[in-house]
Amino acid sequence: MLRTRWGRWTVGVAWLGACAPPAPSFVVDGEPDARELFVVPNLDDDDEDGRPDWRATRLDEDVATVVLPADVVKAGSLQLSLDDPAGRVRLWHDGEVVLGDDVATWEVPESTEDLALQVEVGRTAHYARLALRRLDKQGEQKDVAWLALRSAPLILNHHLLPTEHVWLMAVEGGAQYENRQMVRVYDEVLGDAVTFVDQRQMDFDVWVQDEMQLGNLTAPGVRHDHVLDSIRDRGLDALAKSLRGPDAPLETYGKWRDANTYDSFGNLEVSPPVTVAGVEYPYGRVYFGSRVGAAPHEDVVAFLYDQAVQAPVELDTSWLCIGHVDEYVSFLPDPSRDKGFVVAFADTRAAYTLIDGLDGETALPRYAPEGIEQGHGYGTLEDIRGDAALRALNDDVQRDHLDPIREQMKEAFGLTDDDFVFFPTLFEEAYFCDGGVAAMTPGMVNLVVADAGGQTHVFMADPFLRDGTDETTQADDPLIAAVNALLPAHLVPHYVDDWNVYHMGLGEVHCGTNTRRTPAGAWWEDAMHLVTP
Amino acid sequence: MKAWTHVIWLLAGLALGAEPVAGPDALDAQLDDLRAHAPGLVEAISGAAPSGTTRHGRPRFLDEAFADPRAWPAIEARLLRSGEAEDVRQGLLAWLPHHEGWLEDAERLLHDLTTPSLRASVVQLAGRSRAAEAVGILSYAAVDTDALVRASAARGLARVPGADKTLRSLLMDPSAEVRAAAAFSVGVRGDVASSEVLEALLADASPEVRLASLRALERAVGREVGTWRAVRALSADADPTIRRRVERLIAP
Repeated sequence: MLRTRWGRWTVGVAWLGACAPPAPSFVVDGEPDARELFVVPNLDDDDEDGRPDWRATRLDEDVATVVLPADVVKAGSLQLSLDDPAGRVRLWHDGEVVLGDDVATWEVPESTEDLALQVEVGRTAHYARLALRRLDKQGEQKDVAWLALRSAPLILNHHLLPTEHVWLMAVEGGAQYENRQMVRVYDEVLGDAVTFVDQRQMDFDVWVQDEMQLGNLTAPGVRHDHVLDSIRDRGLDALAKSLRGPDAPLETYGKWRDANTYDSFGNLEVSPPVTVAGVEYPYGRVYFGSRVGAAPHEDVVAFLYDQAVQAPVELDTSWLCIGHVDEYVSFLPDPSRDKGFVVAFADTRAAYTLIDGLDGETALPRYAPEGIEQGHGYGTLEDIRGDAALRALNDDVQRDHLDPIREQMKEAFGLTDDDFVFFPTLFEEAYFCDGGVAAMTPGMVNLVVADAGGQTHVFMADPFLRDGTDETTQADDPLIAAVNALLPAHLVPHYVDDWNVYHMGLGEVHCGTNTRRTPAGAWWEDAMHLVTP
Repeated sequence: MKAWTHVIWLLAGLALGAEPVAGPDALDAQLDDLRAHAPGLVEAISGAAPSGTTRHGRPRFLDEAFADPRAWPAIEARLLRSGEAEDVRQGLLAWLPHHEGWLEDAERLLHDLTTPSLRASVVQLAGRSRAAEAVGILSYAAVDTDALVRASAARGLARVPGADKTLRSLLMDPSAEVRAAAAFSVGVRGDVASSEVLEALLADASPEVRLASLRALERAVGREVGTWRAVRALSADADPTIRRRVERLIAP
């Protein structure tokens, strides 16, 4: 028996504590009193039935577990409810759905043991709340604990992330339509990390970049490789669909019948990490092209904005025939710079500065053929620089499009003039394209960055601005020399022959490939300032 | 060819959506000649599937038969008679400049093709040639009933000398697309004589025309146009590209 006054008071509190049930609380990953739970949405296809698992209403491993501690549960009178107006969360217990699917509340059964619940989410970047209430005998709330449920946003990959795999189209369509040298170089450099896609199996659709955009959904200890499937739905749709499977969700937003050129994913790219007006974007910012009255499908755009952590930037691509952002800008890793990258930007002034200083008599056998399918009708460098209409067109492109876009990018990505390197590029009016332009000198910014063998490689179009038609004469090419001088020192350049298949088809190297990369970072730790609520 | 076969060709072509052929006899004679001298070439062309597509989906025909400089009559026959979709025929037409004397064929096609976008492509190819002989085709196309074709002619005249009056007349075309294209070409030519018209076009209802006229004046007259009242008035234009251009012009 305690005799002191203080002692009696202490015992009294202890007695009250023993009688009052403990406050409701959640345990997540062993952490008591958890306030947030991060989960990868169950959009993959574990059973390989061609549908997201979320739609099957069958419990699988793509859930996160939350525990109601035994001391909380055994006192009884607990009610669990879900604040999820969109209806994209299910709670499972003992293999049954106890919340979600139109069930709003669940009376938690009394138990002397911890009670485990599985949380399943059916949408990326989703937010919902779980309430655990202790009720009195009248059913009124005595106490409550809240748990925020957040599903992973789709994070699209950028050029500073390590490469895991590259897909490249191998084209064998006769002497005029093949990319053997390009395939050989990729094979030599990347080895097992590259898959050569057979053009014949993809209905002769060669534009691997345009059909899908690869990214990841992550949560603590979990990674899913996500395929954002374009609604362009040409032959390569089969490749995108083939990548769906366990831990590999595929999503499509919009309908193919509404697709326009802006829905191709050469028009959807990502910057490396940037800081803009004091706001950090640790996963970079998504950017895509549009024009007044036309843009990627509104459902795709809404989806991209919903992901939040890579807040999108819209750039003007109205002046291009194809209209994709990869036609004039890309990002190159550069560890020697504070930002870790440099922006490769197409520049027509740089092109004229270069060619105006060269020998005009230089023959250009690749450019010489007339017409649309083989060449550009310029037999010599003098033919190019003497074409006043071409010069005027490129002057307009530079002053009215490229320069303003560069200014916009400086603001949107927190860049300065020093962050850009200017790849000499000339554009011309494209055939059958209502006045839109496309690269006349191969668009070398339309490039692929991939690492292999401890080195970072960059694959670009061979510009053939020389009297030569194969790679043995690359050392004589002034445009290659100019670009080499612009590249960060650690990059290993490869100039591949994409002339017939891609360049004359109004695309370049990047358009013919797609790349899976290793995700980095933990968005639930370093990007919450970008997430609302 | 007998008259009745001509009628059958015409009816079949119309039924399939093909271009009516004004004078098929000459083309048939060329095809017969091709069959005699290059066995299998006509069939290779007529039966070829596209090798692939451009990035914007236009079919590309890259079977080696198409690169044979003798192949054009077979390509033309398919272009005119197959009734295939417009984008397929655009892919066939892309091979027009790959043989000697193709500008003569271009002129004939301009008469024979009824689909405006195909005529516009013929005119575009003629302009790209930068050949002085193309001026006849461009002049003819400049009075086409379709604005797409006239715009293509106007753009082509930036690269082909001559037809000054025709080009100037296109500055007054009812179509904004044509006026803008003509302004571009006038500017490339440095045609100071068109300055008054271009200055008037700075007040055009179409932003494309205003922008093209501003660019043309800058090229033809020089930066001093930045002092012109009509130019300075554009500093309040609704179009941001025009405003930026004027700001640069009037900047000290």
